[in-house]
Amino acid sequence: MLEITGIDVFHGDLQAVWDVSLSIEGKGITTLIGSNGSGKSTVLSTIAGLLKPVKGSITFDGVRIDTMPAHKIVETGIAMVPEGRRLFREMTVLDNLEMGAITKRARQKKNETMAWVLDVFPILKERARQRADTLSGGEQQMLAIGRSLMSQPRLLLVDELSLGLAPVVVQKISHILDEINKTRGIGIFLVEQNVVMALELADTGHIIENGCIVGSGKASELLASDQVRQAYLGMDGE
Amino acid sequence: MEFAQYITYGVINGSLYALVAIGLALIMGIMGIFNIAQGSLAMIAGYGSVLFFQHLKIDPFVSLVFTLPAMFLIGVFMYLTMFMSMNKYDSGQKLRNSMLVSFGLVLIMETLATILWTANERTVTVAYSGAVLAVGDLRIPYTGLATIVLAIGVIFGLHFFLKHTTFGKSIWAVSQDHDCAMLMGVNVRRTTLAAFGIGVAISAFAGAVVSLHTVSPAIGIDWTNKALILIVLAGVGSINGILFAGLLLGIVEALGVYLVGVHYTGVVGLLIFIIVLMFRPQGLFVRKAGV
Ligand SMILES: Nc1ncnc2c1ncn2[C@@H]1O[C@H](COP(=O)(O)OP(=O)(O)OP(=O)(O)O)[C@@H](O)[C@H]1O
Ligand SMILES: [Mg+2]
Repeated sequence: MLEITGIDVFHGDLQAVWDVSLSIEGKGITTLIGSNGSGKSTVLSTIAGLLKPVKGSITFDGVRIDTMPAHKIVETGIAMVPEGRRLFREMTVLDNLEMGAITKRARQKKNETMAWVLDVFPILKERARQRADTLSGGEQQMLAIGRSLMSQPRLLLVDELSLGLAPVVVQKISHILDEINKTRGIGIFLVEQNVVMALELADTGHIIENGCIVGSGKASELLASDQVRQAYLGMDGE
Repeated sequence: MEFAQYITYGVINGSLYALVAIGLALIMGIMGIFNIAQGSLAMIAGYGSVLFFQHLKIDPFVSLVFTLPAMFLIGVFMYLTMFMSMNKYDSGQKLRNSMLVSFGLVLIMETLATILWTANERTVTVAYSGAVLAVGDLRIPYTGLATIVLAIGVIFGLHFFLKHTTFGKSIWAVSQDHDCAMLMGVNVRRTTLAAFGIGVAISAFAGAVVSLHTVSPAIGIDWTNKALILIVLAGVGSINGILFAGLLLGIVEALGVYLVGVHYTGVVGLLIFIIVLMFRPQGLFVRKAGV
């Protein structure tokens, strides 16, 4: 459903992504793993339209999106949960969720989607009128995901799900993501430093190093491969 | 004149200060643009009110239906031609650049106003100009009453708009996280353009009131000075704090007049400005930076 073809992406003068091509299937969960500064967030931000590739193209269900402004890309059905959640911290939980449904398409079904999201994350219902910055880390991540779901995406981009969260919380949220993917058919593209978690959750995995894709395959096979074991699991102290 | 009467005038003046400052606070808080031409815009709007009254006998509060949209369009024009291109800079650079550009605008507007309307002071004298509401011994001018009502109305209206309407919330969201608002689907360009337009349009309210006092090309910078004191008192980014900051400045100035005489009003204002900067630089009415 998402086709990335040979993109080069820069931060100012600094090239962060080199000739990256990826294909993301709508049905499953895809992950992009890599160490600090390898270019994961850059790839994700480029899909969402915050950064523009200087070369290559991105299409979503055949429609070219890399030329669209970010706020138009949401309307095509791509939503991003940014690294570090980036909640509207002065706003309440409910307001944050409402902001997720700001596009015309999403606004029409806002109440239905809201009911579903609060059903998926019941804790958000309890916290509904609290300011976003009073939530715990796990709750904030749930709110960030819920907010993105409010736009009724067909593809959900998640940047560093596990960032700063306790393992049990990560497990809980990744379980929910899995369920959303299976029951709602929302494709998920997860970017992670937590290699084990990401590869256990995903169907397909890609490895990025210094802005280049250096490996791709079935997630379970990658997890067992020497490439991943030596480069990442050794470092993770598994 | 007795004490309570001084305080009443302080409250009225303070409300007018708030009306001038609110647009500056909005534009600064939401966009990180330091528009020191806000007082000059109120001056231009004031001339608008004067002209509508002179030529068409339209009351300054009624001619708001013309001056508000006119000021909005001026704001849109200013943003598109001068401020939009500053979005590529980091926040510090943006603040400095916008300050310099808008200082240039202050000079341009003052000169332009002098050429168009001479340096003479002008005033709108309406039927109710001298009329007062007597409450016991207290005498409250109707125009003063209107100023207070306007200031409260504008600030609460703005608060409601930002926190309870879809478009207002988009503006609020952009002010908190520009990129993330874009990810949600907010058209950030259109939203910031409108927010700037609204910030400038608000100066029409100040202009209407100012026209009942005195309008001259030189008042622009004076009003900006008052507005800046309010911003510091309220805390950068605080919009609700502006009303209280205005009342505080107005009342303190009035106390100064009561205690030491009318020549020291300006000094009193600058004094609390400096004291607040020294002891509470984040502002009096800010818990955390925010709207
Ligand atoms: N705003 C920026 N300005 C300049 N360089 C940047 C910027 N953002 C990222 N970079 C650089 O681009 C490269 C890729 O960064 P990116 O954030 O995509 O990595 P990442 O894989 O997401 O890292 P992390 O796991 O730490 O989140 C890094 O070398 C980084 O220093
Ligand atoms: Mg990252």
